[in-house]
Amino acid sequence: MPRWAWFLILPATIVLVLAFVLPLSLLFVSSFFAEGGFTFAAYADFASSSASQRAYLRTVRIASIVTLGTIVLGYPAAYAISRVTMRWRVLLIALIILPLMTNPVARTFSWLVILGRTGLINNLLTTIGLDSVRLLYTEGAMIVGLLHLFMPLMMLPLVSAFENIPNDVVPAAQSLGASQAQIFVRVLMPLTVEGLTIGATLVFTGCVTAYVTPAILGGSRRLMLSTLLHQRASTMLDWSGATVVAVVMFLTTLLAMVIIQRLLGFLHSPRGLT
Amino acid sequence: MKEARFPQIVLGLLMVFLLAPFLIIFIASFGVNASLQFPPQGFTVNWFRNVLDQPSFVSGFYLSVQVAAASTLLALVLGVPLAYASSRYTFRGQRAIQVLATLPVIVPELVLGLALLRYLIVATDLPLRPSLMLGHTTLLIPYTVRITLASLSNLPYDIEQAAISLGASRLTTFFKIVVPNIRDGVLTSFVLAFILSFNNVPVSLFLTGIGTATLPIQMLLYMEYNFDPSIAALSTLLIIFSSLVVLITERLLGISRAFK
Amino acid sequence: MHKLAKFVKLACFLVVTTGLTSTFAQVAVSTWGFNMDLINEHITDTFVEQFETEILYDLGNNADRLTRLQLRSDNPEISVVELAPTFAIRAMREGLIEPIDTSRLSNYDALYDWAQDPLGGNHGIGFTVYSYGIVYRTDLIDEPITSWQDLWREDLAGRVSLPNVTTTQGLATIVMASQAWGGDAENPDVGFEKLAELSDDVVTFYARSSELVSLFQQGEVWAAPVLRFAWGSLLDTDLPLAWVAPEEGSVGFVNTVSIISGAPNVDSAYDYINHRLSQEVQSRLAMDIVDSPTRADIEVDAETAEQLTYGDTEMSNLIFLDYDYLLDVESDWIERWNEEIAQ
Repeated sequence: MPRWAWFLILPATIVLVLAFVLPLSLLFVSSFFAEGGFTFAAYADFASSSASQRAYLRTVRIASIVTLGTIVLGYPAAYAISRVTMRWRVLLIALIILPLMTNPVARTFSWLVILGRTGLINNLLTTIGLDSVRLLYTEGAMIVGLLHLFMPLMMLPLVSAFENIPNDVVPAAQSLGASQAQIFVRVLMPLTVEGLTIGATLVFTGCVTAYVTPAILGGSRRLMLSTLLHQRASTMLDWSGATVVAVVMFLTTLLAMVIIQRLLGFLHSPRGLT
Repeated sequence: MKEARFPQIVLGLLMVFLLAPFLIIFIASFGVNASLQFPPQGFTVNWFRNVLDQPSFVSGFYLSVQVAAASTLLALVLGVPLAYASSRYTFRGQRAIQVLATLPVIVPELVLGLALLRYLIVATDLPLRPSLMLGHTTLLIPYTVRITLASLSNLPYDIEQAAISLGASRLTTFFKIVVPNIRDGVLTSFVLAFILSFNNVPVSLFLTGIGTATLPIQMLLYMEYNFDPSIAALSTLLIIFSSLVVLITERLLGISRAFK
Repeated sequence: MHKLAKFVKLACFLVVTTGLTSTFAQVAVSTWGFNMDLINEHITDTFVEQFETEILYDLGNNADRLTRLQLRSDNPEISVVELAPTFAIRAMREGLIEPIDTSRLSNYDALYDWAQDPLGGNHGIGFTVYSYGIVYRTDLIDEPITSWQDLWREDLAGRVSLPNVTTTQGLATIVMASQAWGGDAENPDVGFEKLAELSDDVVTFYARSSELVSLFQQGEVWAAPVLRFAWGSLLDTDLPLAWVAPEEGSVGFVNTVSIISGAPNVDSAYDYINHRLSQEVQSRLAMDIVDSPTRADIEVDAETAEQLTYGDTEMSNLIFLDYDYLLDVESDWIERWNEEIAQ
């Protein structure tokens, strides 16, 4: 690499080290010090608490389901967006971002209206003669809420990726006799795997760290790591306890990133076109 | 061109899913009743008026726009070169720097906000606005880097080398060849970063000072005790605003362009 | 690139900020931001008139503000802080607030006894009080609710919401549940047991009063223990609701105002506190249902009184909890709540 290229890299690196690595490392170190001595107590407390264990498993479960959900729904939809005329594309992209723009608490109100016991879905169920069901304050509600919230983070990178595929690639493959499945696996997948990786990483980490949506849609009976962290930080002002949760969240998402890259990197195999 | 119908059907259903909550908020914001209600009774635009009458909302809005604009630009100015260098060259510590540029996404923002306040801002006595901008920039860099990287990965380096071998300078090559090709990615990251910053709560929560707080923080404060349709009205206004951001970005820089 | 340049210019323009300078002296107060327009009208504006000092506010919930105060404690910019009970005790224990010289407050003697020194050592003065009662839908619940025990009734199953343990009234809920079933604050086991039993029939544990309002509004919840200051918002729903002061007694919460240790501008801080406690301010805030007064000499009409924690009879029924003790057990109780109730 030419020497001048370091000037492209250094500014961002310096900012990240000063305003990110340094303060967080200090906070991390401080979580080992309590009442004047070095201790793992805060970590031991976390590991031994059954409420923490449940919260951990729930977080991983929900984040995985939501990530898969955004891929399954977002992939075909992003493809469809990338194929419409540009006017429509701008409109659709603007509309997709709406969930991110909507105030979290106002958004939660609308879930209450939709999922509530006297809400739209239950009204529909009772009109067609079925029993109303509890939808709100379940893991299902949390999944739906997070799926809604993080769909844009999956869609945007995917749309970008699809836009970069020249328009004639698919017809060309078709004319060469490729089936839909072959086109999907051997043409589209390899060309979009980068977007998919970004999307999956953003969605998974988003789910792990999101607070308002799981707190309100799940209620306090379905604690996730983020709700646990807030409980410690904002009620007990127990910042070393909160830092422990943060460290666990951090390691979890780091592991998830590696897994996502491995899994999707597999799709990026030499069979592809690139 | 014959297209499969399946993706379009999925898109249609997804749009309904994505928009339904907003439609409910939009409709509820016109309700007469003093607490947010659906379906609303009566029709009034008083809640919109109330929003514009709240000085805290107005000042919060200006602060949020400033912070979002500044930190998004800063994140682009820092992130795009990093992404470019790391996709075009190999260098020592490349992997580490790429990971570093992704990390801010996976740290719970509340914790980042606290760490920033405790170990950087209090220590250096940095004023509020720069603190907010710095905190948000840190959060946004991963988005600008990753999305730009994705765009660059689809642009073969050969094309640039060809331009350079034909006598174009590096800078000319960058602006004439690279920028047009990664424009979509950069714009996507601009819009996304702006909106994420504009709506950020956890980092801003601690970077709040006497008489100054970003709009989402002001909204949170308001909602702690009020449940009138003002919040729905404000949400509606913000959505109009964000659509404007998308449109202006499109107008100024051309978010979409003709197919290649 | 022309467009990009234009865009950068526009953005830079937005970044340039205008500073406003003020001719008045200033004092900074940390408070919630509840009903800010009325607070401004009744406190901020009248304070400027009388003392030619402007009040600047640092707003947020108790925990966020306390965290910010902790971090800036070496060099505080804020002079006065208003906090809810457990947080005030916490601030006192951490030395964030200093004793108040009550002889400097001409309005001090007009306060109810329990408002004069709720924290101990004159660390804070009660400026408002609110009770903790039960609200229910009179059209859907036939047999009136009179006690905490009624929340366990068969006909309310699946229709009750309780406050989350992390709310201001969270610990008080455990105390009252214990008291209702034969325990007390020192013996909360029975309360935890009964709450765990009820947990399945609780719609959700609400985190903020505005959330509870919408739960009532949408018909999800028919009955819930509520802090008095949310009563007005609940009445705004136009639903047929009733307020019950439970047989076990209503817990009284006293919010306190304190002076920050090492605060700048201490004289203005005293002026502020005295102003906050003055008959004029307390009475104006009461009339507009912002704060219930902690002075006995405030007169309001019956309709207003209905929405406040007000009147000698109501005052004499209030129970004040030992927050010093509750703060000690808080983290254990929250852990226990997570393990036993919230699962």
